Amino acid sequence: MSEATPTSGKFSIPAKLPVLVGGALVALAVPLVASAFWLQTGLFAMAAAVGAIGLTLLIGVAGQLSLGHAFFVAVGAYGYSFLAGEGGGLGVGGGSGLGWPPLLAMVGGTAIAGLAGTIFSPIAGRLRGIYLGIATLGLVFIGQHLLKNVKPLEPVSGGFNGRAVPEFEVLGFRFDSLQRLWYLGLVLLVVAYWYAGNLKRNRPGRALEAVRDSEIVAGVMGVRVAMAKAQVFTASSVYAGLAGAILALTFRHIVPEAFGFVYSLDFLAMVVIGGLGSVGGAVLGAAFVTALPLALNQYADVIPLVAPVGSGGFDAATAARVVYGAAVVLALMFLPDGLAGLRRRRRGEDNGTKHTRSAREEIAKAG
Amino acid sequence: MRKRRKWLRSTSLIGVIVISLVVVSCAGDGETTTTGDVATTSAPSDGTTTTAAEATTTSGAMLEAGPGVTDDTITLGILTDLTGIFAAPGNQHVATANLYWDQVNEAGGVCDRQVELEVQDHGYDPQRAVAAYQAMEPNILALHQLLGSPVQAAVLPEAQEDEVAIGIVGWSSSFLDSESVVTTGATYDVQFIAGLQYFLDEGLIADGDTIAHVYFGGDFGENGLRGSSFFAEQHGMTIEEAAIDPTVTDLTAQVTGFQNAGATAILIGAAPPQLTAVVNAQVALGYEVPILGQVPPFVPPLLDNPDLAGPLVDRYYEATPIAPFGVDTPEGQELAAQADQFEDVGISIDIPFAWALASMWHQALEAACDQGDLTRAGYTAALHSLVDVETGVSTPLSYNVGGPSGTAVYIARPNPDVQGGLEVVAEDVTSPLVDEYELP
Repeated sequence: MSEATPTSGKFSIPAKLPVLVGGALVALAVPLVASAFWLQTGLFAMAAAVGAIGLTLLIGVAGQLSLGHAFFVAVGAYGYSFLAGEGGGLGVGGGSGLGWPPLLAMVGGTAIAGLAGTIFSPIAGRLRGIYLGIATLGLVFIGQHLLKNVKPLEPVSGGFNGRAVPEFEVLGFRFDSLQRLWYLGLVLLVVAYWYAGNLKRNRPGRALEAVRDSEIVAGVMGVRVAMAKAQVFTASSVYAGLAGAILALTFRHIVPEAFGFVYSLDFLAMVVIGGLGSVGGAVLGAAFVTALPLALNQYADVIPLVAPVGSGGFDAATAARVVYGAAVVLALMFLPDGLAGLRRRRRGEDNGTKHTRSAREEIAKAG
Repeated sequence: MRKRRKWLRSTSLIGVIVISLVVVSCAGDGETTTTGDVATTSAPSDGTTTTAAEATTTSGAMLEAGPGVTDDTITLGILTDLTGIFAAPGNQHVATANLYWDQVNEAGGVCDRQVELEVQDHGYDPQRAVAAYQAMEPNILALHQLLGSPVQAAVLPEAQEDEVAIGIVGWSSSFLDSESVVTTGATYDVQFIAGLQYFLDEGLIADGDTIAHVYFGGDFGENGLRGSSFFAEQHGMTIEEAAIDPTVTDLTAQVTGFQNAGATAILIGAAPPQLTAVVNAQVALGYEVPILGQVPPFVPPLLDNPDLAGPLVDRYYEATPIAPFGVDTPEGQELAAQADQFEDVGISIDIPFAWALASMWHQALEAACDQGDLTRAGYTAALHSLVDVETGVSTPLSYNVGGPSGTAVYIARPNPDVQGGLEVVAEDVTSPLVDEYELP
């Protein structure tokens, strides 16, 4: 939010430049040194970051609670796979496809997710707070049922065992390795970040913040509340759809289990830990929630006093879960404004905190 | 001044990022080096693993080695559920594998090498499973245990590309078209075909009967239904189906429906809560037809409930390619003698299952060693050369065929007085129809 204030903007651009350049160089250099595990983890985190940006627009900026984000991610993932797929796949699961060029399929899959959001938005327009949360939660369960059990959908879903994901390709350049996918993910993440920042800073974002703080006041000020809510729901679903496409490409084979209720909760954790309403915070939160458990799981055996795996005692796998849970609690206790708040605090800037706080209170009221 | 301080802060931030990156990449390298791996090197630029070095055995013969194989160790991966919904069987499988390979190592190992297990938890989450697989892939020869259908489906494409053989914990036949996949005996569909044959031969059911089948929508349940439907078709029987979700724990309506349809047996392809529900409904309705189950629905604690124990002993039959704990073979007795090792994880049929899987992999490793080829391709080839492998705690296993590694089952029945709660009443039960059955 600090970016929105003209004073800090004027001074912070030269100060930010080395950070940006350094960050970009680091991000570009990662595939040259990192192992497959870290690339895979990074890609999962990028996919989650794109999805979390969408959710923070919805929850943080517009104050609409959604627990159904995993559903829209699934629509994007299966949408891309179906549109680009040729049918048949490696090993298990079938799922045919329309054979579109992958780039077009990615746009198409994202658009289908956006459409799903638009279709759902009248419901979102009528419900508020926790009621909307529960309604969107229903979407996740409907989605799971459709993907696993509905026979006519099997060409799209591949049924219980999921389906293969076609490789991404632009103008004959194939994204057939994790290294190449890393750069694709990076480009998409930057675009998603930039667009969300613009959306938030400009007229639509301010309208949404007004809706969040008070629908009546927003209406009086000339914001078309129902329309604004529908738009942000659609935008958030588009983000989820794009996240789904990146996630699918990272997985190479998608199964319904990957898009369950827990994934929806993960998204909620990402935007809360990152700091509600902050686009940068959503990215940090996504990295925290996605990468931390994976990394802990890898290195949990260095934790002292853990029992050997398979002994039925307090083993490394259990320890990793406990440490992750503790990290989440500590982050929320000591960083009430999320990871984004940490960044602001370091800079000694206060502006924006008020907005974030009101968003949090909105959620607190709802939950 | 303010500007300058900010600039300093930003540069220090870059420093932090760079340092953490270095730390991270060192950690990444450490992963491959700590295994003491000399035969494999991980090429960081493309993440793939190159085979190098030809190691020698003590006999002096040249041995081709691949990833996961060094001069003194063979590393196998285990990717299982230790914290999610299948934590109980997951821990049992890992405990058994640890015990088995410890004994092998004490006796000198395989191919003059110690067998090491790299165990990772995936908590039944495909995302964690795929990441954990990527992390262990450069270090392992093969994936000894992989538990959970969705996880198997998600990991399989990568594993196939890396030529990593996978030991599937479960019996779904949907993965059998892949060379990399290894199952332990008759698959769910074949188990029901053989089990129904036993019911027919014993006079529990007859041609033209109606048979009820309760199953989970999804891979496991539908795979079993495929088998029962095929058998019913061949014998002019009607299947009365009830697809349910794992959350359904009251089956009174379904069982009443079965009774009204005059079903003479109930097949169950679900989990212990559903077996409980079927028995409870049967008792309430006074509807005492036999129940045919597979490994997943029955767990020993069911027999601790006096309301269930009686009816289960009366009419529960289990068709299983794995012999129950304590089966009367040398290996079965050897395992039963070590029952105290499993105090913390509990005893069930998953113990002999893991033992059979380990025994089979052991024999495949020996075969690959004899061929002088401990690369991944060599190991997979050795696996598929195995015919009628005896593990002592399962039906004989053959991997030279495209289908399931076995077509026979044991028929086991509950007995509260034995450890593991199950007892063999018939072995080598199969059906002539199995040959005509087409796999999915």
